[in-house]
Amino acid sequence: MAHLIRLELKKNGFARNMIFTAAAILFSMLFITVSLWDSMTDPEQAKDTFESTYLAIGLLMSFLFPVYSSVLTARLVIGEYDQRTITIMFSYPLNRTKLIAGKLIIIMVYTAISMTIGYICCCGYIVFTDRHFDMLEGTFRISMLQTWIPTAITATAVCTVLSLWPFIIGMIRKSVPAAIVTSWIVIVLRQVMITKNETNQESLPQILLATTVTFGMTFLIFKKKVPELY
Amino acid sequence: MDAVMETVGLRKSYKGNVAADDVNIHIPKGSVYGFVGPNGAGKSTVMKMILNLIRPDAGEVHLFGEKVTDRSYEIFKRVGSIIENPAFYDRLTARQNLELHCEYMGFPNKERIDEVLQMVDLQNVEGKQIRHYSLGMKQRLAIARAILARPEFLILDEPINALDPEGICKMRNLFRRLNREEGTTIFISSHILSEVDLIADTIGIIQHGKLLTELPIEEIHKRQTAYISLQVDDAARAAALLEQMGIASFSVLDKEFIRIYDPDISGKVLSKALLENGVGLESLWRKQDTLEDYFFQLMEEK
Repeated sequence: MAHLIRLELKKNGFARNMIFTAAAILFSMLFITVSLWDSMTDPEQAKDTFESTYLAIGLLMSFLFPVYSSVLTARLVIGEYDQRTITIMFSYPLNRTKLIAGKLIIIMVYTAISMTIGYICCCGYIVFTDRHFDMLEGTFRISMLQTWIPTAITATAVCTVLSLWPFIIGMIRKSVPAAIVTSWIVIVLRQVMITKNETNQESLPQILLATTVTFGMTFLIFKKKVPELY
Repeated sequence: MDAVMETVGLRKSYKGNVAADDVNIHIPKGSVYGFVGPNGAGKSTVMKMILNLIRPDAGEVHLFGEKVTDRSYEIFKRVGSIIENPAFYDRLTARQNLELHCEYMGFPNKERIDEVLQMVDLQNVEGKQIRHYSLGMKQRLAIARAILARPEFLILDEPINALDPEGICKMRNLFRRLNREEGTTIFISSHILSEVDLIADTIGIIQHGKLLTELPIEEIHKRQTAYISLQVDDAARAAALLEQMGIASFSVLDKEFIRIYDPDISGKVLSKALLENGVGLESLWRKQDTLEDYFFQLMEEK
């Protein structure tokens, strides 16, 4: 499997994905800066708090990287069917389930790592800007991390699992647009769901349900749709 | 002779349309098997089933004596293939595509890449991204990829599509060389019957998903009749004259055309006799039935 993942990375040139990660994080920092600057300079507005800024970071992370992971799904998996290169892949003396699973592992690991880096950079950035420019209401306390870290881990884990949905729907339709539109729908549905919770994150039963349904559907797709060329 | 590949009662239908029906193919080791049939006859479907790319509704495929199942992977190390239009990773170069192929096939000899690029005349453009390749270049690269890992069995679905006449000739020679010098068994489909006639030693003809016949090419050549065709202004008078000349084996096709099934008769003698007896001769030519004639004859019969 490690060999297949290495080949997949070689084939798709992962440098541009790193560039996207960096750009997405920079964009998030810029977005936060504009928001903080606006609230700081507008006398009619109250200064942003650490809590509200952290929520904004969570929103950005759970939007940018899952959408990009659907682009990766489209390129790495659905694109192989679309461009017919899958006929070559499937004529190799390799287990086809492993071939596709290797691609999904790359997508999920990419989502998890880039979201984690994003959280670390953006949270570090607001702490830094507050310390040097006093841009936020109140001061940063280490105790805040007790909320931030579990929330970030939950969001990252859930988004990583949900990054399988573009694969599921994309494979049913064998369509690149379907994969990308699915990521948008999943992100919106997740936001609708978590805003109903007081903690602004998924409850344990919701996580378990989403994970079970997602993995169950992925298994079905592997059984029914992966071997089909058309 | 051992069969490299055999299909037993292979059947596949798509939404009620039968694409392959009880197809039994036998490809002897070291042979070149030409697979011919009209568009939509089921050639590609059969080839895909052999490569385990689509699952048959019924029947079996045996490769190197082993039954192909959903879990057959290792056996495909011994098979090279071109199926449908050549597909590549467009942003990679020819060399990068071939390197990837080596890695996926578990074929360690990267020096072979230079060899195959030379065989298909792409050694000077190997550094170019595939998206800048013409269809003919892609087709040649697909052939290079198929033969890269020195397969024992080569499955080629319309491999000379999009090639120019010079390219067709070169690839034909390449396939012959692989077959004769390396003992590669080749299963080749083509619409160009004259090409198949030149390269194959066994022919399978498929129509509406059914394998109509499977014969050694010598057998087909034996059945092919040589004849002299005459176009005259009065076929009845010409026929009477032929009888007078002692020629018994001929048939009058219509008012103008006569076919003489004795190719040893001199054309000069014939034309002289006809002209001396006042029969106008429009044309005279010798002809041998080709694989194409046999193919159309078979299609009509079925």
